[in-house]
Amino acid sequence: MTVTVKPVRRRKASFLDRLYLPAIAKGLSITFMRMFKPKVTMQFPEERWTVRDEYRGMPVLVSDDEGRPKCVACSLCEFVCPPKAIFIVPDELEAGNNVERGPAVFDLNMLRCIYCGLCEEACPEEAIFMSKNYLVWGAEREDMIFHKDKLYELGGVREEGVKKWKDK
Amino acid sequence: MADVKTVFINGVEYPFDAGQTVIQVAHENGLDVPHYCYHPGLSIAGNCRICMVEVEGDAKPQVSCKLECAPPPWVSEPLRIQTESELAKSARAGTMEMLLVNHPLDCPICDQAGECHLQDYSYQLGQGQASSSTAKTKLPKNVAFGEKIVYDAERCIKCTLCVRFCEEVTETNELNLGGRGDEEIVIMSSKGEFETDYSMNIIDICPVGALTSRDFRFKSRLWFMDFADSVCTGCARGCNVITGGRNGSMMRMEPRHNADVNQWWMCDQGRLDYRYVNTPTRIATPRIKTADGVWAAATVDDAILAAAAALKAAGGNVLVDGGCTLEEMHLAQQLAAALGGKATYAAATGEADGFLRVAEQGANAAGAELLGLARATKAGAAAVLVVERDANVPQALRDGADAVVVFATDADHVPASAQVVFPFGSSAERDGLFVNTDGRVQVAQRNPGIGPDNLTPPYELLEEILGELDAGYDWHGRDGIVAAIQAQPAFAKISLPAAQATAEVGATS
Repeated sequence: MTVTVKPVRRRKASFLDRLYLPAIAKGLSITFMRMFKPKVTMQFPEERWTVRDEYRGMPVLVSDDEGRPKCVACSLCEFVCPPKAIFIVPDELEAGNNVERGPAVFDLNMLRCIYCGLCEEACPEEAIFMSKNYLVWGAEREDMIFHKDKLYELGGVREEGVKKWKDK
Repeated sequence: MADVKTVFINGVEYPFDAGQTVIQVAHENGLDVPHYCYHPGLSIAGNCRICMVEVEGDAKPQVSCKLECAPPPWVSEPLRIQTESELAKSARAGTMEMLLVNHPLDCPICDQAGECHLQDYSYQLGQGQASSSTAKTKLPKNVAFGEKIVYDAERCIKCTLCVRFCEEVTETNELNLGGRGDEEIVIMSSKGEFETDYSMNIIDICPVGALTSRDFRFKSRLWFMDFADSVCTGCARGCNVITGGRNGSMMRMEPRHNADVNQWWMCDQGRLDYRYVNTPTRIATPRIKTADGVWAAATVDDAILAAAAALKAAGGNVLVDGGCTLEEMHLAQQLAAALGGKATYAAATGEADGFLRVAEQGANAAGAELLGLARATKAGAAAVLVVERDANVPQALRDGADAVVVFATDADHVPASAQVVFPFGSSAERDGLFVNTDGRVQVAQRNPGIGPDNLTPPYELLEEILGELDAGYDWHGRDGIVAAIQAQPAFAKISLPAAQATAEVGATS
């Protein structure tokens, strides 16, 4: 295949173009005009976005109104999680708990999480929620794997929702 | 009396044997009729009412598990059954709703979830909402039935399968029903412990999550696990089993139906025997002892070369575990011949229990005898040692062998004399053929979810070592090994299943 090259005729720079001063004056005029318009830049992280109710931030675990962890380690979130960010080891809870089963290990790998919210949707106990926290960071890889205690601390207490095991 | 020999189910005519009921003929012909209290190995109770079918001409549906295919003597026409008609479906949906009135629906914490008939039929027939608004009954949960079984009375549908199992199969009568109405529960005899060693079979036959295993309790959801058809190597009976594992750990073993070997059952000892697979001292990679006497991890290729070199220097006999497959035993024989020695096998002797368990503990002892391996009764020199279980090859034999090349599952079973160690696995991790105590050839399949990653099959390792010994051995692959065994005179009357055969295949001599 032959390649045909078509030369483009360019306009020669005029005297004013070569002087550059009109272009500088035009640029500065825009800067001065902006000085008198309202600011749009947010001073992050001192200032934060207010996110909408349906915002999907980092998943967290919640406790019921009596402070009992709601997760029963059914592992449905682990099963449904597309990037396999959740790892659960179920365990038997001591007698006297309202439910027989809970997680011994609940690890959430935030390096993997894609914030899809399927874990929240799959949870039959309403124990895992997408929080509004979009600021997830860690200095090391290990910092980005959130363990059970931290997830419950971040989730706090949620009073509404399923309380299937309340009177067991 | 009219001589009717067929029955119409959903418009198709099927023959039946005398005394057969509709559900049996339906299941034989691949039709799915729901059932809870029916089990082909136990008497028919007909109490769960989920197997209701329509009999054409009758106004009321009938339970197909108790309905005989032979019509009453005054009828000369075959029965015409509809299993999927509106009447049958509505009868079953009504039964389902009644069964769920007091069921706690705690599937998220129930070990049966995923293999629960109540879940399956609820999905097929159940309604999203219950008509009953009364509170569910509160019944005992987490009741210990002996040390191995957990009973949850709220999940129980009182199908009495477990009661009938203890009456009819083990004849030990530990269980019965107690209480009335919605407070009826299964109760245990005052001894509080099963007399039989077959008690855990009631966990398998329980159609719901009322009886669960203490050992498997909350270990894993079923849908995460890998399953494979295998053979129990706890004794020479070779009960057909399904192994279940996840992420390298073996989690459970369940019996698989084989009418000629174990029917539907297996003993608790064999079922719980798998735990040696998950030992923390499991060998995962080949190891070579360095000049300083320190163990170093090695690649498979390096270990094969090192093993061949060590064997060329040492020569001698081969001692294998009685739980090795036919292929491994055959190669052990070839290896012994190449080294100028003899191959022997070692196996323990236990106690027979008169039902399934036999005294011979070497799962493939019959196969070893067919191949012509002698049984090692006392310690003797052996350059190559294959140890799967401590019981079969006890310490005296291991230390007495003075072996240089060792195939072992557990690092604690490696004798001090070893120079090269290869990882070995349980029967759940190896493909192979086993000959049981009745001379029946059975196939064990590897479960990919159990054992260390990238475990090289021992028969491949043995073939590679043989190839390195310059003894004129050609690599055959598993099909070639099976063909070589088949060509031996002792196997003239036995047809070995092909290497890729499914585990259902079996042949008797």
